[in-house]
Amino acid sequence: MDIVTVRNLYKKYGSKENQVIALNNITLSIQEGEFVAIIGFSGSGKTTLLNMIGGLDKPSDGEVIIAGKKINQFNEDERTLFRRRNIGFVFQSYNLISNLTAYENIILPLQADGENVNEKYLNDIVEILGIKNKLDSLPRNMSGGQQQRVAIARALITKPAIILADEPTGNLDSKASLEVINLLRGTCKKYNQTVIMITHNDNLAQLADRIVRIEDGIVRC
Amino acid sequence: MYQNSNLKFVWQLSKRNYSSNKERNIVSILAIILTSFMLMTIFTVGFSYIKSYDLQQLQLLGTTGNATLDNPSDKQIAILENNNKVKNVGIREDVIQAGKVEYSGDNTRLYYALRYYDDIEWNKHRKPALDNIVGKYPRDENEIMMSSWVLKKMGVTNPQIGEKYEFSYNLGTEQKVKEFVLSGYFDEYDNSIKDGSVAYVLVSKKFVEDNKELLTQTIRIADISLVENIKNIEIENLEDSLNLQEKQVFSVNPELQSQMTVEVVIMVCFIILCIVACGYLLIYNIFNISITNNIHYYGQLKVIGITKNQIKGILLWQGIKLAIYGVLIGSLLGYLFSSFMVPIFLNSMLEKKTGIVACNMWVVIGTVVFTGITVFIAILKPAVIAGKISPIEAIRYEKNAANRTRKVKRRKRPTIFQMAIDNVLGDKKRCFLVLLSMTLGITACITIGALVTSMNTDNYVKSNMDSDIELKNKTTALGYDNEVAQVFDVEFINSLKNMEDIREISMIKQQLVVPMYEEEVFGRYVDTMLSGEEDIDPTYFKSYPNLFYSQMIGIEVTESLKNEYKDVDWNAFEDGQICLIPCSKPELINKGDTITFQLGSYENSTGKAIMTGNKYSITIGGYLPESYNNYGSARTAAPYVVVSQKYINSIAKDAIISNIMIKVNKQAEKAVNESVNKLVVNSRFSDGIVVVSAFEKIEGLKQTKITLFGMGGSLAVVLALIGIINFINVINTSIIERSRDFVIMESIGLTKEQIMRLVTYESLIYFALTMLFVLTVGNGILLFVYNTFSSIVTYAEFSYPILLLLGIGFLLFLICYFVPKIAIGKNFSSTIVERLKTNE
Repeated sequence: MDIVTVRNLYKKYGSKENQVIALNNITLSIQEGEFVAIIGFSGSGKTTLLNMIGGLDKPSDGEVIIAGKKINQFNEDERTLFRRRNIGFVFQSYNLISNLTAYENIILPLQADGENVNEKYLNDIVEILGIKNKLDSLPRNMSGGQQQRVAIARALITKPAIILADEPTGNLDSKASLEVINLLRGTCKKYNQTVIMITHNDNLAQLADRIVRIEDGIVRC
Repeated sequence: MYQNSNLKFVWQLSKRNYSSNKERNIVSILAIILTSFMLMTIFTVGFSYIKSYDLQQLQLLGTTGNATLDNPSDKQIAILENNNKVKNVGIREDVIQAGKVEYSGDNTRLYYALRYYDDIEWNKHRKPALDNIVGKYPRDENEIMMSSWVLKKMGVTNPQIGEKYEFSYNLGTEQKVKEFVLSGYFDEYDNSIKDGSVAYVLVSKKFVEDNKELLTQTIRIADISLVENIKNIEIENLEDSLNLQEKQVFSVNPELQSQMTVEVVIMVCFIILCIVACGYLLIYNIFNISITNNIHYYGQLKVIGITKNQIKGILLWQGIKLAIYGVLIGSLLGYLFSSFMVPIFLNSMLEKKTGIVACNMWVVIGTVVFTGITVFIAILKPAVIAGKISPIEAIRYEKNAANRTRKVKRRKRPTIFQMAIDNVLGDKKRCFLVLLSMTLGITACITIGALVTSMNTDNYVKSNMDSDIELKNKTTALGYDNEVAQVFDVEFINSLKNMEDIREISMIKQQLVVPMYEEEVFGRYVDTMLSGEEDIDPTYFKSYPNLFYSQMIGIEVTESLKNEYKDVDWNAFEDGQICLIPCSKPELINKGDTITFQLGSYENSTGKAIMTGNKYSITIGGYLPESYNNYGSARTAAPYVVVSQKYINSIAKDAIISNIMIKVNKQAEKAVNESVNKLVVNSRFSDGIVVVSAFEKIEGLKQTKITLFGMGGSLAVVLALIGIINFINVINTSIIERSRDFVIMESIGLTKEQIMRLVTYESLIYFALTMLFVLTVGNGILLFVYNTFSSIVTYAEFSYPILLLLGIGFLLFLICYFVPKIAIGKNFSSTIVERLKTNE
């Protein structure tokens, strides 16, 4: 079953002679549980596509359907709520809240929903990610790899259908990068989640189930 | 080593940094303006008040001299002049004192006396206490100089130099009439309070010399000004060196009570400290936040080789520039405000509109220095921090990260509200600074409100006056030199009784009596009262009974008197069977003893009483407070005797009315006051009557209250404003600082509304903590200040400014509610994606 469907997606910035077409009529489907790597040069539209799928931005034209819902028709709050409950984001620069501990960062999406913390589930995640002993640490007291794992834990805590990872290994060394990708794969399999990952690294892209190449806003298969 | 000469470079960087921080600059200048405005106002008001009060005191005394020696010999004058504890010795001579000098055109009972001042006395002692001197001190034998109030009494409202006035006086055995020429006149403090109805007419040295042989009753006094802070032992040594003759008196005036008591100094210092602290906190916060926001910039400067002292210099230069603008504008505003308010304030606080002093150089210097110090110390710490930061630290620095100190326990169901608490209390230093600034500002505000509302004018009047209007016979007042006179004649009393809206009139009468001295009755009293008077042997009075005289005071028995002194048999008192003794030591005079007395009159020339008429006896029935002695006109060896009006009327029909107390219908106070004042002015004894009106005192105090409220309120508002600006600045800046955090929150699923709620909760927590601090610590400060205040303003009745506090609380609440919304609104103006990119 297709969990993500993108149809005739356009995203334009600016107007007239200053107009930039970031996404140019993209049509794409991703299956549930699939691990997809999106690759392309800088400025090719990878992040823009991810932002559309994650509801961070609205397309200029076209449809984005996530789990049967046309999120391009949602207003901002609806997209935010949808994102909170169905999508987990992992960023290149980790984007942890600097004055919250690892634990507090992880449960932040639950806090937003007023949900109870499922301590058993959280324990499982942090065990898998190897950050159990870092739960009370502040981000500045963790290495880049540890911070990224915390970010992954945060993305997983709401049991989202989809994980969107924008260059999750961009700031990590090769060893840590491999670890993170393997973790993403592992959790993807364990919890049957769909992972869409942007990467510059062709070697890491090979670990995905499918590679989608984007050039100048167009998908090249 | 490489030379590091780079003032120009630092100045250029400073200029660039200055231009790129417009918002910070505006807020900083505003803070400095407010601080210097308040300091300028406080210094101007305080300095002017002290100076004006001192000047008023001088004018009250009429001389700068603080010691006198009567009938000094030339040798004694020489000793004084050569003593290094003596600044000046002036001579004054009351050349015609005994017997009246009458002005031929005068139909009032004003007594004139001719007086001479030598050059030192006139120039050093008298002139500084006078205003508006026109003309010069008399030189020729027929020249005189007078005070403008004396001329006014003579009906001369527009005096001219060279005008002629004819006075008649006794010179030796001759009755003389002489035409004098006015050589000058001046304004002085109304002398009629001090000297009764005596008007001094100044004459020349030539007049004194030409009439020397005939001026047999001249009273010559050396007026002496001693150095400041002279010790008692030095005064004693000076007195000893003068070798005083029999009956010669050397007296030193007690030091005038300075307004600057320890309590007042503490209060003033406290106010200045408050202002400096509030200003400091605001400016410190502004610059601290600015440093935090630009930490990467300073780190980059370090990377490229700028030293820590250069970075400090960049900030301090900016501070100087801001301080110059802020101090100039703030001081100017403070000066304009003070120039307008200070005269109004002083006129309402001081008895007379005398000696109003405006701002001077020291006030300006004080303002500039204090504000400059405030700005400097506020900027110094942030500048040092900026200088110390290492490049690596700066690159990795995250705005909100460094300050988290609070460990938060894990919660099963964490809420936005709990997150808000953690955010506020997590950074203890910032929390403390914001709370301190807010608390100080609000506390200052409500403290001033409490002081002003506590000046209960009703309470003042109640504590000082038993009636609405009191008329006093000046000639019966203590210290009055001339004869006692019946200024409230029958015509006057009848006019008073016929006035509308007067509820009650009561009188106090006075009669000199000569009790028969009996050791058993008066022995202990006289021993105690005259202890220390070595010349007086109590049995002396047996031999000289007419020296043992007293005042009989006749009072009306009122309900309030009966209620206050329940142990007195008021019926017996009313019937004249008993009298009461004003004495605080009942053990000195026995209740139940009988006093036998005769009526008397006082002989000025001999200082003795002349006994007249029958003997009377009356039993001592109890005691009254010593304040009843104030109704008398002399300090006497025998105790005063208080009897009923009925009794005194029965034995002394000509007893002098010393006081008339009038109670008035409330709604007609103003009209009755006007009528009474008019009656007094038109009376032929108007100079002998003093009117004390509760209504006028209340009106005067109302003006004081309004002025105080205006001035104090303005200062309180400014202080509160500083606190509020600080608060707004902190909220706004913390939102800006956390813009990265907010966009992250939004990216992972927190809605704008939730983020708005988070920051609103945070500011409401600040509000709640501030109000808690105000109600605890703030009220403690308020009580301390009030206690000091009430020791000066003794009639103050504590009144907590609840409305003011509620108003401020409400205003703060609105700020806490709306400022985060506005700040977040500005923050969320672009899309999530744009903000994510900006904050990477």
